[in-house]
Amino acid sequence: MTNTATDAPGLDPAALSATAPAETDGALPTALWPAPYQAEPPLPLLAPYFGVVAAMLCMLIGGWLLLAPFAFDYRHAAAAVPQSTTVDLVSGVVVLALAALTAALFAGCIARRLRAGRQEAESVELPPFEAASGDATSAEPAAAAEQGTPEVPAMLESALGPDPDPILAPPLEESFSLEPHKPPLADPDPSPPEAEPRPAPQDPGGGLLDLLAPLVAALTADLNSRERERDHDYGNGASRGSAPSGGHRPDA
Amino acid sequence: MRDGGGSRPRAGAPIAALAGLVLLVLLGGWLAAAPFALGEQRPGAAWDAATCTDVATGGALAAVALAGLLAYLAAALSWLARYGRR
Repeated sequence: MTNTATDAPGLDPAALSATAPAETDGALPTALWPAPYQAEPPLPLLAPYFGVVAAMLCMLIGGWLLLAPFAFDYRHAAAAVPQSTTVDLVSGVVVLALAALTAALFAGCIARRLRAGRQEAESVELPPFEAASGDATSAEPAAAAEQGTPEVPAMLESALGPDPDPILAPPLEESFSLEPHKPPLADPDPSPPEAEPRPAPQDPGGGLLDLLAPLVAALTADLNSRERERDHDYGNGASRGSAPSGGHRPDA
Repeated sequence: MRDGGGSRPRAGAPIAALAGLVLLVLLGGWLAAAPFALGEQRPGAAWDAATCTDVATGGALAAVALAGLLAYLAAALSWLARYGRR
């Protein structure tokens, strides 16, 4: 499909597809990017603008032709109207009418092209890149939910717990205000702000205590068993009149 | 008028407007030649005010209309050479 200079530019339906057009048999595709990302040709409005300007100048010349016989006094007080006056008046009227018609036709051409360009701009659908990105953003959570894998933010939130003291950013209206800063008015009844009830501090060593409690219990049981065994051995050695082998009686 | 490949409407060429410019060129030529064609201006005699006005105005009219026509063609061909392959 070939465009002419008088065609209203727009999107080629074949170029709208992101793939290579079927017309390129064996040749490299000319549209490597989707059509919305190509530079759209501007509307061919310059040529009819030239036509409008030329027609308007011709209108001025026609008006001058109507005034020239009276401005230069072709008649020279003659009784009859000279032929040059008639020629100028008739030519002036014809030129004025024809130039006005030509200007209107060029203006109509400009209006049609602008209207066609606006209609094409309105008929352009969502670019494939935005459509693909929208599908991707909406499809990823669904796929994660189907696979049963929790999302990373949810895992982090469950592992770290809620933020006890979140840092809140000031509102944009206050931080980016263009008006000069005004000091706050003095409070007529200054009173100290009420202290908010602070939460009870949590025991940071509670978890460690829970972890070490069974170890301490096991160690205590082991020591007790060793004590009993030692007492038992000492009792047997005292009855035989010799100290127990491999050890000594503790002082206490 | 629609192209054969799609439903995109195509703005037609302003043939009538271009024809109007061509007629203005011809009118300018006629206006410049009218004093001599109608016998108002004798050969070799000094030009009177009407002849000077007709020749100057006709020449200007023809020049302006021809310039507009050539400017239109130049702009159209330039656009076609730059964006016509898309």
